[in-house]
Amino acid sequence: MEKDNLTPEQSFELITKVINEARNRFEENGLIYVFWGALIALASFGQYYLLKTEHTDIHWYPYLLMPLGSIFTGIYYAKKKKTKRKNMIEKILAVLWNVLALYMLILGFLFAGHLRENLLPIILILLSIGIIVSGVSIRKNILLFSGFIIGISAIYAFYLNLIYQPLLAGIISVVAILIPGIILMYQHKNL
Amino acid sequence: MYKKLNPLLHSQLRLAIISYLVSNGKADFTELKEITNATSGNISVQLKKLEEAKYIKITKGFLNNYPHTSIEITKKGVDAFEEYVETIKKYLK
Repeated sequence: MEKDNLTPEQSFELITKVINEARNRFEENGLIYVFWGALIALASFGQYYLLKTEHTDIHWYPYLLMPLGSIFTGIYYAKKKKTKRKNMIEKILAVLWNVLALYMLILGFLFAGHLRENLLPIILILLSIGIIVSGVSIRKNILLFSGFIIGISAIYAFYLNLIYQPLLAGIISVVAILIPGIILMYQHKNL
Repeated sequence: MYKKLNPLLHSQLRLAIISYLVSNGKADFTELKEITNATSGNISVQLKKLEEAKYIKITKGFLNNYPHTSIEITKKGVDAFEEYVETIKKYLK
């Protein structure tokens, strides 16, 4: 088999690429998962409380926290970007999460009336895709596990009554986002 | 003035182990033995040195009832490897 001959520059470029990819495993400090896990739990349990107490006209108000959360996330990553150059995996994940967040916000705020009880399962499916792809990209099995749990819950949510969907979302955000985020934080501290 | 190469990485076997771990994240003892063609004793000694420098993390456990050693690169290990590569780059310029 004919071998490609690399110049020293090309070899170093290749090694640098491998080093940058290896770094992905150490970049995730879990903070963003803890933040979103807590925020979604707060909004979901809040909505469940409002539905249970028959505040049906304002039950979606807690979800106004989501655009605020997106702004915080944007600022957090913009600050991070200033300190280092992004590698290809980080760029792909950034695009993926921006697109998913945009879809979730559009679906949640503009199509809630059309989708009704199908809204939450669809949002959970989008979330599950993002977390699974992130987990595979940065080789974090705990995120892979979280993504699958969210995916299974999304399918289950299609059969749930609207009033119990936020309760499920709250539990899922604690079990599959907040707790894995805390574990990632702990792992990051011990690297 | 040329910077000194990290003596811990400037050894054929330790460099091979670290390079493999940088690109694969983690490996088990048998895997390292296969790719380096070194003896178990030699690998153990080099792994101990890398572990003492906190370049790798060694986890000992069991897999299918057999003892299993898993070796994982740490952030410090990736940093050291990157610095080593950068230093060599300067030598070759």
